[in-house]
Amino acid sequence: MKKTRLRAGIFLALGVALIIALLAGIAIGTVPIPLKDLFSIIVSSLWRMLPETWQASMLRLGLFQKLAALMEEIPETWQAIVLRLRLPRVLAAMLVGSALGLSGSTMQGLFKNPLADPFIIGVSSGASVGAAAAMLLGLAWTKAGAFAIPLAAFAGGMGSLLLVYSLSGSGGRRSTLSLLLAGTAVSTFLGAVVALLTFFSGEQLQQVVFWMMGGFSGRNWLHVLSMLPWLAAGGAVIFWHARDLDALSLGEEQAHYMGVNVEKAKGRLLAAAALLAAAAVSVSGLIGFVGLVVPHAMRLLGGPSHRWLLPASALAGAVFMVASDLLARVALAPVELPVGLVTALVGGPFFLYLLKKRKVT
Amino acid sequence: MAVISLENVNFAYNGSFCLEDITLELEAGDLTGIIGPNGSGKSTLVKLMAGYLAPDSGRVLLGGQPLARLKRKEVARTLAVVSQGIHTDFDFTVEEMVSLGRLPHMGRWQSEGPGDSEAIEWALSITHLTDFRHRAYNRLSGGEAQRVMVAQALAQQPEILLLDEPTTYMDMAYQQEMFTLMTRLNQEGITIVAVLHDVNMAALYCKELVAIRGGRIFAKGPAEAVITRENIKEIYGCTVEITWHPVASRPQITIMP
Repeated sequence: MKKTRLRAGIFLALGVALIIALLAGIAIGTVPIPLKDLFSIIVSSLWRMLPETWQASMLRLGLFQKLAALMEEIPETWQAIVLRLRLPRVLAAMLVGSALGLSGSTMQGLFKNPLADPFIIGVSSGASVGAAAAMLLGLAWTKAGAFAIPLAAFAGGMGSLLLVYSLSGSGGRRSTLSLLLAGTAVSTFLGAVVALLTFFSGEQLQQVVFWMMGGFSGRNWLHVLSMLPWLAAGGAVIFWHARDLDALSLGEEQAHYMGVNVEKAKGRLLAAAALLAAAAVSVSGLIGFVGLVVPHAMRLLGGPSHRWLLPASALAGAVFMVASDLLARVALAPVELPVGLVTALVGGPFFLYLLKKRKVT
Repeated sequence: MAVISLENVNFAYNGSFCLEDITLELEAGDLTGIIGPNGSGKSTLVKLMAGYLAPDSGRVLLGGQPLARLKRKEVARTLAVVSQGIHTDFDFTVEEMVSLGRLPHMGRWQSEGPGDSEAIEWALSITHLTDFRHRAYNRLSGGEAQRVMVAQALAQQPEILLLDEPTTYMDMAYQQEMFTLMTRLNQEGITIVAVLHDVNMAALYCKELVAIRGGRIFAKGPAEAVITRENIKEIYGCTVEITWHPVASRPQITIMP
C-alpha cells in the first residue's frame, strides 16, 4: 500500500513538473512572454477553434469579453511566437520525450536487460542513413524538405527493424539473443554507412552532423501532428502488454508458463517500441540517453512493475526532454546547444546520483 | 482420469534424440517423482508436459485435450511450472514476484481483486514467505528464491504443479520443508510432478516414481518397485545397497564406497 501512495506521489510531482516545464519553455526565450499574456494567448486560440455558434452564445452569457479585451493589448508578434514557434516546439519535445521513455522501458523489459535503450536494434542508425541520404540528395532545400527528412528517417528506422527481424530467424520463433545480435550487427553496419555518407557530405556536412546531435529548433505543428498517431498506436500496444512485460522480464520460458503467448507479445512489443523510436528520431534527430536513463530512474524510484513503469517513463521522458530543450536554448543564448548534448550532460550525473543514493538505502 | 497424458512422444534437439517413444499417464492426485541421471531428458520431459516444447511426433494431452491447441492463459490456470534458478536484473519484491502468478487470472486492465489478494496471501503463507514480502527477490539466497518461485506458481492456483529440481539450491532443512509442502499441497488435491536428483528423498515422499534413462522410460511404479539394486545399477551405473527406512516403509539407497 505504501508503494501505491509513493507511485501516486511521483505521478503527481511529474505532472506538475511537466506543466511548469511546458510553461517555462514557452515563456522563456529571446523575447520573454509574461505568464499572464501567455495564458490569454493560449485560451483565446482555443476559443477561436470553437464553432461560431458556441462562441456567440458564450459571449451572450458574458463570458470571455474580458479576454477579448486583453487580447487587443497583446502584440501580434507575441502571438506568432507563442503559437507558431514555441508551443509546437515544446509539444514536439514532450511527445518525443515520452516516446523515447516508453520505447526504452519496453526494450529493457523485453530484452530483460537494464542497459537496453530504444535504439538497441539499430533503429537510430537506420534513421540516420535515411536522414543523411535525404540531405545529401539536397532534399532539405526543396519545398518538401521539411517532410523529406523526417520521412526518410522514419523509413530508414523501420527498414532497419525489418532487416533485423528477418535476419534474426525464420518462421514464428526468434530468440531475444539473436534479435540482439542481429541488431548489433545491423547497427554497426549502418553506422559505417552513415560515417561514409558524412565523409562525402561536403557542403551538407554541418547539417548532417547537427541532425545527428538532435534538437527541436524550427519544429512546427506538422511535426507534432505526425508524432501523435504513432504515439497513440504504439502506446496502446505497449500498455496492452504491460503485464506480459513483467512476465517477460523473468525470461521467455517463465513467461510462457505464466500464460503469456510469448512470440506474439514479443513481436508486437518489439514493433511498437521500434516504431516509437523511429517516430521520435524522425522528428528530433538522434537524442540518446533519455530512453536509457528515464526508465532506470523510474524503476529506482517506484519499482519495476510495468503497469507503473510504462506511464511513469512516458511522463518523466516528456518532462526531461522539455526541460533539456529549454536548457539547450538558454544555457549559452543566443547560441543553441544540441539537445542530445544536454540530455547526456545533465542526465549522466543525475543518474549517477540516483545509483549512489540507491546503494546507501 | 488422466490429467496429463503423453502418447508416443518423440523429441529431438537439432536432430539428436532426447526423448524417445514416451508414453505416460498422470492421474489426478498423483505425487510423481521423475528420476534419472544428468542429461537423461528429465527437464525436457517437464518442458514438453508444460507445452514449452512441442513433440516432434506423438501427442501431449492436458485434461484430455491436445495441449498445443489450448490457449496459453487457459493452460496457465490449470498447470504451473517451477523452473530452476529464475534470475532477473530488475528489483521485484517478493510480493510482486508472487503477484505475477495471478497473470493468467486477470484481465489486461484489471487490477487485483479480493480473489487475487487471497490467492497471493495463501501462496505467501504456505511457503512461509509472509515476512519476506517486501524483500528484493534478487537479493535472496538460492533456496529462498526457489521458494518464491514455488509461491508464484501456487498463486496461479493450479490443479497441476510441475517442479524441475525444486530442491537443488536448498540445504537439508529447506529440502525437508519443500517436500513437506509438496505432500501438503498434494493432500489438498494438487497433482504434483517433480524432477528430483535425490533418489532417497524421491523414494521417501513420492507416491510414484518414473525413472528415465537415455531418453526412455526405464521403470515406473511405487518406490519399492523402482528403487532396486539392479535398477539403480542400470540407471545410474552406481553400485548401491538398498536399506529400508526405519520409520516410513520405503526403500533407501546407500552408496558403496
